[in-house]
Amino acid sequence: MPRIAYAGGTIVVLFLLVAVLGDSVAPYPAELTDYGQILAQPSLRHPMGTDHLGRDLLSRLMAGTRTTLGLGLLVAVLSSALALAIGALCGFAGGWLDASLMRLVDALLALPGFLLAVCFLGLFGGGVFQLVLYLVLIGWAQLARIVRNEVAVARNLDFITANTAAGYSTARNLFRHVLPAVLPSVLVLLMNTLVGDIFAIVSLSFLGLGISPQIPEWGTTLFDARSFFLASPWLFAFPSALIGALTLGLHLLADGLREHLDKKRFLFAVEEINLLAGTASACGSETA
Amino acid sequence: MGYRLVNSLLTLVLVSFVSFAAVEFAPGDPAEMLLGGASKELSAEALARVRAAHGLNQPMWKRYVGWLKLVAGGNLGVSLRTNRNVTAEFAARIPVTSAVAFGALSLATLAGLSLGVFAVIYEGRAVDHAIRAVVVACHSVPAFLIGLLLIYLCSFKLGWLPLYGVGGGSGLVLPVLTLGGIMGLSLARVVRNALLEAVHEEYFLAALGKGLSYPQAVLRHGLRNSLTLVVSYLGMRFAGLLGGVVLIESVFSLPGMGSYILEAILGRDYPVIQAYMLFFCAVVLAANLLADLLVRGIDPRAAVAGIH
Repeated sequence: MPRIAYAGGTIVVLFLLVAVLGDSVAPYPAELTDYGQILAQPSLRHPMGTDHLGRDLLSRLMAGTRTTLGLGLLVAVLSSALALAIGALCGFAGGWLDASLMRLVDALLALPGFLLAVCFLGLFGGGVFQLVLYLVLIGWAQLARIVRNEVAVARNLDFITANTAAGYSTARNLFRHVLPAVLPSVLVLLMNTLVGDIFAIVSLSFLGLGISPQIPEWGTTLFDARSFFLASPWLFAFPSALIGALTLGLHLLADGLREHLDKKRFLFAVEEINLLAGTASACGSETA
Repeated sequence: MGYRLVNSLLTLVLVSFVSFAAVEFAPGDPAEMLLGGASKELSAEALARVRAAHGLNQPMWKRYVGWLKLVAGGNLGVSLRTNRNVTAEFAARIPVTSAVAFGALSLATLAGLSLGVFAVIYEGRAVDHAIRAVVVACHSVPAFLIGLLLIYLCSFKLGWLPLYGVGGGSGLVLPVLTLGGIMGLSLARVVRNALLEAVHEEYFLAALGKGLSYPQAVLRHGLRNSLTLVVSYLGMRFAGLLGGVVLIESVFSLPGMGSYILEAILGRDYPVIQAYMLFFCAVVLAANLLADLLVRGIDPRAAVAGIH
């Protein structure tokens, strides 16, 4: 396993730990206001300073890690699961079902997903459930396309043909042999999707859409900071640094894993994965 | 090409239906909204009158077809907040947005091509590594945060540019720089990787053999072959760019389409949101078609490869 994968993995695990432990290790409760310490500069008492209500920024961001990373993971896992189901169906079944679902994927891929999410949140109102729903709905298509191609390659491998000749059922071939074979690719893609999903969540709550500003979340912290960031630059410097660190960790982990799995020949549609994952990590994610 | 055109048109029809149905199922009674919002004082009779006057009592499909006819004629509806025609409101807001979007596209193309060529000519040396490091750094946070940083540095600390608004054009510099710069940097990586593949091709070796210097060969023979990739990459990223414009306009308080949709959402201005969805999807689909056409213009082989 390449060293960058371990480096990235360490960063990601640290963030996961903060997300899980969150408020129990934070120096202050996330909601605690201290009107004597409004917009205080970073100091020993408040390592990242305080916001316009005198809330400790470090504690707020630690609590926010759970929301941002947790929701990002939820969106990434749900869209990967949907993509896996539809991709596997299309890749394995082929025929008119494949053709028509892939046309739908084409249509979704051609549309401005982020703008659609903005419009839907505007029409039906914000909320955690809606946010997750819209992000999954606009996010699954790209993954499904790749999963489908992976499955289409995997199902024509010799050992699957041998299985069929040996009388294995379609379901057994699909669930026991083809799907496990494409899981490594899905894992790599999931990590790259996660970065895009986190960016989308942060961006939407920065616009005041999606998550209610009362909930501690990296984007809502930035939303709160909008009116004060010129005089109190730490209010956007620290959240940005956290987002940057997590993104870096995820990209390193994804790159390392991709390299490792590719070397072991665990990835089939390598070109496509490289195109998506490679441009995502070398060039950043598609979202905003 | 015909296939792509049909596909885009079908997608547009799908979008028109979704945006119509979305408003249909969105919370709130349109008749009440037309009368100034839900209140107990609205009599059933008044509501019925408004419904009849606006054709709201007709079945959904009839209203959908009627709406499509209006849209096809260039009438996008009437804003609930201002009572003005949405088409006219769009027309007032589009110049700023298109200035930002096209500025960013041009900057991205220029920066992407030149930095990409630089990175290839100096492959493996400091310039190449520096470009890669900046690319990774710029893409580790959402673009709007870079915008905030630029406002803080260039407008607040140094006082070079206006803090918000268009400011006679100078206010557009930072938004264009943010979006175009970031897109240009990723394009530079794409161009670099494409050129590095090209330099191993036989035609490239032949060009070197004829006595061209390495930079000359990259510029004359390598670059032309990577142009198709540039165009299709920009086409692919165009939708994301428009998403970025919403954020960047909000950060820089620019009076464009991005801030318009946020105002419309705050004011629950459904017709505007509906028109906005349809309009931007149409723009993105058209841009993708244009990118396809350009690719075919640059590289005739693409036309053959594109047939499914």
